[in-house]
Amino acid sequence: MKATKFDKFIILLFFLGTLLSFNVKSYFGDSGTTAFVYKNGELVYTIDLNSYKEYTLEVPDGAVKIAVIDGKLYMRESPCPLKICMMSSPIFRAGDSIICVPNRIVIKVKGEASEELDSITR
Amino acid sequence: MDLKKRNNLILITAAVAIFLLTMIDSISIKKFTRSEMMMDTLVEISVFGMGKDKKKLENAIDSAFTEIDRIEKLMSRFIVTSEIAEINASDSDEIYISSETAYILQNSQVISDLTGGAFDVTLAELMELWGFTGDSPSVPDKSAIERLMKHTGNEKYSVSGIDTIYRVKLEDPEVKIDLGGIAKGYAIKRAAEVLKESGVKSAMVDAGGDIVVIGNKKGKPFNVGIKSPDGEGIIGVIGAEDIAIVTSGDYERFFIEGGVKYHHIIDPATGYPARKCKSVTIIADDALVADALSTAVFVMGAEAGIQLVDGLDEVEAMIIDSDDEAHFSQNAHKYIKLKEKE
Repeated sequence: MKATKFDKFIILLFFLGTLLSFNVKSYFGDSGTTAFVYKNGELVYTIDLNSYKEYTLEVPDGAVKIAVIDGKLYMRESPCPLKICMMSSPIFRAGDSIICVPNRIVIKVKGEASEELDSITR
Repeated sequence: MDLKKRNNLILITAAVAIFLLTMIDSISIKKFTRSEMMMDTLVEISVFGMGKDKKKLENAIDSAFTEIDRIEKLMSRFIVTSEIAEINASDSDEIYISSETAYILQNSQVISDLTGGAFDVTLAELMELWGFTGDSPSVPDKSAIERLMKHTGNEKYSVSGIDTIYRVKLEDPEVKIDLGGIAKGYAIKRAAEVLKESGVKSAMVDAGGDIVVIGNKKGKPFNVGIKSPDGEGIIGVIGAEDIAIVTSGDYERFFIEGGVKYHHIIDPATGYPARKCKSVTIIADDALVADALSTAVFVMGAEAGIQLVDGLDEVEAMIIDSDDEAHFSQNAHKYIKLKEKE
């Protein structure tokens, strides 16, 4: 059996595809900056920080409101007593987070950041 | 070549490609992460390992979370069945405790002695008075603070024990214990130990910014940003490998009254929030030490804090004082790379 040019092309295509699938995954798998909103440990929103939008989460004492403006995520309203989550700076870098303990809400930014931070000590 | 042979060749090539894909996937380094709300914060455990070890690594993460949960149930004063809640509620002046709680209380006294009393686990009543643990914090009456200050101080309790029988003796029946400044460090230290015992070589345990790092990440140190005490973003990055990092800041839990910010790090000498620092980051090989020292150095201030840290092995510090000036221990620059101002 002698392989034709077409056969060789197909074989090469398979192997290149196999190898490239890993490079594509490792280089682009986490690209973009995205905020993940968890309530009671469950993921409730995945937010593209390049969008302009307001999100509402119902909590026992009312509603928590989150807004994305100019690539940053703000905690706009929360019925929690100390309002520490609302006083937090807006988040936008991978590793940034806002945590509202009374309402058990966690917002984390993940993605490919310029500084490639694994976490932030605070 | 006829059509049948060509089809066979394509099928074989596809099978080999799929096999290679599966092989590479199983030996490539992957990140396995899980988060849970524990100890009044978000705890995130990330483990790096080969895809083929997925089950083992996920079990290790489960075990680490179970360990944190166990320690919280043992040492949180807010859990009525914990040993600390039992000590605080007891009418007796001598209470039997586990060797683990004894270990933490003894370490608390050592760190208290080392820091001239700046670290103090007997401030539970004061924290209640300020309302930092409740819904409506406010500045208390001076007289109420002075009254409670009579029942604080690490000399107000003693720990004794032989073999596995340990007791805490309260010298003052009104003293109340709060391990909030040290137990979280111990919990993440133990979680990291559990991960190591399970064979994990690369991981990060992050409890609301109190961090323990095991090994490195794909041959490079983990990058841990240091939050700016004022406003957005970070002020520097720590290259972390097999170390613990804990920060105490005046921005994590606070309220504003009469235009003045009151935060939750109380100076044991005054009963009021400590005013010398905005943030203190401690890098140490032991998370328990890092946790307790971050609070103590915050109270002590930059000058005394740096002097203390420079006298200790395996401990480094970065302090932002109340005038926004950064202070570093002798070898802190080995770990910390400051971010250039934008």
